[in-house]
Amino acid sequence: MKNNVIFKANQNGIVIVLADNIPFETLKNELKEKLKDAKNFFDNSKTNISFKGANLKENEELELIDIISNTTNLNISFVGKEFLKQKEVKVPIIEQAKEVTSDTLVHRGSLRSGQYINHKGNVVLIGSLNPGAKITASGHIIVLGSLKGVVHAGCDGDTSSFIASLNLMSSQLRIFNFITCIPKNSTQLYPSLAYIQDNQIYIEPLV
Amino acid sequence: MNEVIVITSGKGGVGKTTTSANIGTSLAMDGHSVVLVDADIGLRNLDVIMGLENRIVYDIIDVIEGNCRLKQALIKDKQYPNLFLLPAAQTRDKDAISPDQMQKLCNSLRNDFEYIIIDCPAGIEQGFKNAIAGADKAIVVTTPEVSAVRDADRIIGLLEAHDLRNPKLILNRVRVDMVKRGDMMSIEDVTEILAIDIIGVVPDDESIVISSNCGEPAVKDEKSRAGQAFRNISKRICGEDISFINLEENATFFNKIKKMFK
Repeated sequence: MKNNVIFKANQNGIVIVLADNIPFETLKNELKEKLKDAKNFFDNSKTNISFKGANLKENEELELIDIISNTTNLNISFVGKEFLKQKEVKVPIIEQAKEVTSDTLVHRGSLRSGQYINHKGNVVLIGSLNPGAKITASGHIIVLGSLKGVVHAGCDGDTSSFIASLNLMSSQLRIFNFITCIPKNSTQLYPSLAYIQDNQIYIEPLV
Repeated sequence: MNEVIVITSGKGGVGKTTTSANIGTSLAMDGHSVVLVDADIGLRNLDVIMGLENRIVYDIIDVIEGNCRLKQALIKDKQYPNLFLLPAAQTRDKDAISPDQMQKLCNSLRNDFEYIIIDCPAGIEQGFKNAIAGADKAIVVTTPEVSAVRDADRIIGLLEAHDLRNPKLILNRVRVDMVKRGDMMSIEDVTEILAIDIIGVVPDDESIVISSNCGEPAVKDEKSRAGQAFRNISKRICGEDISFINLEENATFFNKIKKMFK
């Protein structure tokens, strides 16, 4: 699947991120295709839309909006270049990961209290991280299980490192020198991704 | 006068950590500046009981090894700004620290806090020796069971050998109904064997389990009877003369009525 057109949602509406240096026709077709797939998702809602990335001419923008309003029942209330000064994530963090070439440690089985993995590179844990257990890695950390212990990704300063887990439960997440706590009562029982943006740790569902 | 108090028992599972958390919180509630030090390296629990587990960044070993400053490792309580926790390391063991280092640590804490409460690990090995190294006073926790009292007796002997004289006793998990039936040792039985001053008697109370699971020490709960006992103990530590709570009195209205007809 090509990824020249990406939909992102923020609290103000939908941001459509268009890849740069791609012929307008290609973008148009890809947008059509994506909208077809996501038709049910957008359904009948009222929303704002903005474009990001490629430099669109006015008429091109209108053309794209036409496509959106024709293929979906979306009710566009406002169109803008960008709503917030806040930077969007350039491309989903996971895609940046491909650039990281450091080696990856795969650990099978759960880590229990007091057990500790410290690794230069990425760590994949096939199992759960129990409370009191800890993983420190210079790259990304992926826990295929429940995350209840302490994880520290990008410990050497790589702020593009992420933490992914099937269930993010009561735990402490660190990326580089940013720290956040997941309180006991706000466990996330769906796959989640934590990354750094604007000097903050963001956590979003990985669907 | 700033004091370092070690809470110890010898036997495991008698309630050292619960006692430390409750006394520390209660002292802080009365306005004293308090730091709780978890000396149970490798099997830390105090952070869980205090509900501060996911805030740990640095621990006691990081301080000792110079990875961070002492102030960085202290975790402020959720509710009381004058209460701090110095957590133990979970990925290390008791040999990661020496009695000398512990003594230095206690002395540097002494400058900033009125009460330094050390939660001692079970046993009489390295962990115990570390925990008592910097202490001025000791509190021995025991339950009214033969094995716990036996271990407490051994601990009192070891404390005296390390120049910690006149330790105080807390009798934990007392069940009056069982004592009455003669199935459990009474307060008098225990003090007779151990022959040290008793500073508190804590009734067996379900609210302790509940509060430990929530990470909120029972002293914060006005209604908890064990919490009341711990509040009294902390007042006695400060030198106040408080009479022991009547364990028989069950505060419920129904029981009071029942008593009238007896």
